[in-house]
Amino acid sequence: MDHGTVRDDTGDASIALAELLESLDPVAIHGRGGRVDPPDDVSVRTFGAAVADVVVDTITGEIRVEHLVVAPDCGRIVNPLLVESQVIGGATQGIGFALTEEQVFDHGLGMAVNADLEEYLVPTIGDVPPIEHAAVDLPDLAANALGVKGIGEPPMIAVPAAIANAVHDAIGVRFHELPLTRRRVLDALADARPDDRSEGRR
Amino acid sequence: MSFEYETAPQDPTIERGSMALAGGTDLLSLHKVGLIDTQRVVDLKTSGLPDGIEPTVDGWRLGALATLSDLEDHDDLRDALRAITAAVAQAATRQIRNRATVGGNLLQRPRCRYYRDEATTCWFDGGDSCPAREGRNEHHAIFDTGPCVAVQPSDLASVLVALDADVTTHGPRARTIPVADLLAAPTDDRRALHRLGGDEIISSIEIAVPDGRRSSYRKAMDRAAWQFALAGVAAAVDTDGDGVVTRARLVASGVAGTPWRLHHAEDSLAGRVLSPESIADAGRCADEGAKPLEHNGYKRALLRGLVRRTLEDLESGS
Repeated sequence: MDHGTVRDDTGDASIALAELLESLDPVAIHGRGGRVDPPDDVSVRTFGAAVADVVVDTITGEIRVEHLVVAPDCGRIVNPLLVESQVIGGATQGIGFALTEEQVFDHGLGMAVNADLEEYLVPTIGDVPPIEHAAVDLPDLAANALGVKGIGEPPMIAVPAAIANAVHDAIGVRFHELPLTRRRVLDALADARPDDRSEGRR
Repeated sequence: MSFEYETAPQDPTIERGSMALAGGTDLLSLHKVGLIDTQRVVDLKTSGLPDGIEPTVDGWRLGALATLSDLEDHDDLRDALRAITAAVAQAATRQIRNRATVGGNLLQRPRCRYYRDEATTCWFDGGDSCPAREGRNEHHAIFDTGPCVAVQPSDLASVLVALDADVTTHGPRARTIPVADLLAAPTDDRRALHRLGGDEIISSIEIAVPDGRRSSYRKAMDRAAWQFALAGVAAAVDTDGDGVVTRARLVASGVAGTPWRLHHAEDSLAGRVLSPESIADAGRCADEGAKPLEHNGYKRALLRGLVRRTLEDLESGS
């Protein structure tokens, strides 16, 4: 089948899909499938890239993600709309991972300090910039006959690293702990420049 | 425990065993964790108490039942008092602001998670000690005013203190007092963030606005919206014809049990023109006197930064 046209094996005979379906009597079409064993001679992996453009206010510790570009790999794209939604959703979760989401425990009392959605901060629409994205659509025929791979979590994974790297590029501080809250940013800047109180926006 | 719900008549009173209800944005959440024990709630929305926003001879009157959204959407108020619009527009979410009232906003209970945890007792709730003092106190006070380290949660309160606003109560003991006197850190005998009696009802807020006053409010959160202030700064500055500061108020949210006047920063501006230099000087001394807890030392730098950004709003006239 190609662009709505169905051809026979030889490619000589063809008919538009709509015409073919109109000519059929009501009929039930059964398909049968199953999951094939993953190959044992290669290790199937997905890959992805993300680039973040951030603005850091070094006197208030505010980080704003201005622009985010992500290109995750999911093998062959079967349903573009679904992949697009997964990519936007995953990248948004990555922003939360990088900047806002953290479970805080008081280990002395054994108490979850922020056990609700008022205190556990998921990103709001104001935290999410335009996300430019392109799942790369490279069929991975070593993985399976369709060349498909998952797209659930992969779009999330590269985003926090991209944001933390962009913050490093902006203010010269490497972070080894997420999320990048005001507390972490201001504490790190104070450690990096204990005597400098005159810095501005970068 | 359950309670009865009543609608208030005109000229309402709050009897012993009853509690006033206005926006009701926090009533059920407090009740669910056992922090409200009342036989009756009296809904003031039917009481006819003021809900308007009106210009007066020398400023503005805000009805206690006006919602935060009413304030946010009021164009003339925005032109006169930017700080009020900025503060309410950054409070909670639009859905909550559509319900939350001016009076209720000033009388909020602390958001401290130790206070609100059902299984934990704390000083504010009648216990002996404050678990937040040794616990996860990222969001707590750096100006330590007593046995409780919870902060006053209102953004609007800091702005009203910066504007020297007054609050008027309704009823036989009606009185008008400065908002700065209404709100106070708790004491052993009064474990509340305010000094309003149980039978008193806020009726309105009065604000006198001299010509040429500029004001702004900046708030720091860990996301773009919908978090109580890690810290906030309200600035209200009067200048003479030469641009020299004749009166400056800088009041911080999120750093103490009450809106916190930054006297050192205010004093540093007196007699000077707002400039990058005078603004930097005010920022530098904004955290004077702070005594942070284990996890909230960052609020000192945050306060310094917010004072600068807030005064820059005034300098640039935005």
